[in-house]
Amino acid sequence: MKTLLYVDDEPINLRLFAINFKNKFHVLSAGSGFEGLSLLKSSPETRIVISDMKMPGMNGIEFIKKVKKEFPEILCFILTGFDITEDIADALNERIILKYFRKPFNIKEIELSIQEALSKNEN
Amino acid sequence: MLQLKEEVNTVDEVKKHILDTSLIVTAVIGSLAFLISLFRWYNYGFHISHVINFLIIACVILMAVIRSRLSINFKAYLLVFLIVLLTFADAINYGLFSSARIYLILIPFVCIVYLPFRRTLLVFVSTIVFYLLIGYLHHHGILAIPPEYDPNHYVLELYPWIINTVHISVGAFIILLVTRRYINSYTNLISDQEVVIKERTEDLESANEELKATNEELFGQREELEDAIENLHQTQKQLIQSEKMASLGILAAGVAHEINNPLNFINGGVVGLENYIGEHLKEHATDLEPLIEGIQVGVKRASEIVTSLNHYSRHDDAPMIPCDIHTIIDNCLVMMSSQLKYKVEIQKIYTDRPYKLICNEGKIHQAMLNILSNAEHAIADKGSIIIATNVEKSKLIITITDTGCGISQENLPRITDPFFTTKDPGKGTGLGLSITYNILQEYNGTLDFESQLGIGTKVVVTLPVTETKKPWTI
Repeated sequence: MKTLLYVDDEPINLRLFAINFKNKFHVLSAGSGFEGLSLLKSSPETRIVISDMKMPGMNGIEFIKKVKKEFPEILCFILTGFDITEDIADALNERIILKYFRKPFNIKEIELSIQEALSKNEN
Repeated sequence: MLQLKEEVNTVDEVKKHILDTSLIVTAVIGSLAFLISLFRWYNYGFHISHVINFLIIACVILMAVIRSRLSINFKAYLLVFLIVLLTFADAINYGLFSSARIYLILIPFVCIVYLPFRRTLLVFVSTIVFYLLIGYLHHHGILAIPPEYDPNHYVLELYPWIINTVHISVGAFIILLVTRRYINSYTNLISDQEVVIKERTEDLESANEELKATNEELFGQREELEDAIENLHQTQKQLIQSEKMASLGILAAGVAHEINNPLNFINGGVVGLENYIGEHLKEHATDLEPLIEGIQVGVKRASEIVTSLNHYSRHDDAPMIPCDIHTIIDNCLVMMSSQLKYKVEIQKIYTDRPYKLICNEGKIHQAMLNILSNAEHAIADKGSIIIATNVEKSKLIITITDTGCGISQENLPRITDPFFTTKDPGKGTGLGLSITYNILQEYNGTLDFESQLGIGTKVVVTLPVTETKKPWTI
């Protein structure tokens, strides 16, 4: 089972995400970008990062840019309550993130996208 | 000698010229008269009058020579004095035979030029009185003409006729020349005045023209100002409107985000519950399914509304991304669902031909929403809206046909003008189709209308697209 890190400042979202994906991934949860980065350092096996966009201190894209700098192999996604923004569009164009998902999340869409990305990556 | 052609512009100059002319004429013809009078000396012997005449004529010649150095008044008074002296001396010496008495006429003539009328009259009357006195003295024998002047004999001679002719000529010439001088001067003055008046009139006319032009310019400026004010009012309205829209957009985006998170909670919770039921409460699954489904449908619907709000609130500077026109139209319909419900039947004929439309989704959303809102507004009671899409020759064609009230032929060309509205004040800004038109122009699209009053309106939107082989996904 692949390890996935989910970052969101809403504890309920973290909890629900962990419950819903517990059978598919080994889910790590972090309440902020800073917490997420330190978790990644202690869990180098993490293959996937999904982050909320709007968070205090560091937004999703800023966090993912830092992740990509230290762990370029990790596949990153954004899960946002907002519509697409310029930051997200740029990140998509630069392939920093592979896709962005909208809240309320569609569990199947997320799962499929991750599987697709993982298989592409392995090839 | 007689500088008549010289420019004479002031009354003083005229007076000076008249005086000088008189002096010169008197000097020339007077000398002639004096020379002729010398015959008298030859015929009748020397007489004191010859000396007086000589002195007077010498004086006149001297005055004529140095005329430019003497003041007008001095010359005038001296001339009058010399005339008086000459005539009186002659009258005293020759009585009624005096031929110089003709010059008495010149006294008022010269005086009136330089003196006021009453003083002229006074001088003339005193001269005449004095002349009459001389006559009276002759009458009483106190004065006597020279003995050699025998009246019977004298009047028959030719000489007195000649001397008389000369004196009359002097007087006449002076009057003639002076009068001519006067006439010329006044003609000059009048024509000068006429020229001045003409110039002034022309000046006034051109000033008038200028004023008229200025006036017209002012009118033009006023009209321009009025237009500018009107434009400002419209721009202000437009600004207020766009500011409202922007605030609404910011509000919508904020609300969307805030609602999306709790929706995510519900959604996540339901997914979790569904899984749990599947794993642990299979015997209750049938009972719980409708409840779960109810929550899921609720979340989906709420989520759709939020998404449509999100689409609408997209900023102008939002990125150009591939847009799905069908999703955009569906979002618009979700936003309008409360107005459409029980009133308008929507029929969608969507194409499945693939295409790629790259644009600012929010703007296309706004353009479509404006067209659909107009279609809905046109329907008073019940009606239908048919939305058809097609891809043809690298063009996406969206046709929206309503069964509303229609647009009159005279209004049809104006419906995309800013602020043109047929709705009641406060009901419409008249900006909707203008904004739509501008948005479509920005993407090289077109906007066309076909309408018949009472039957309905067909709006055709075209947008250039790239045709692709397979449908794309966001």
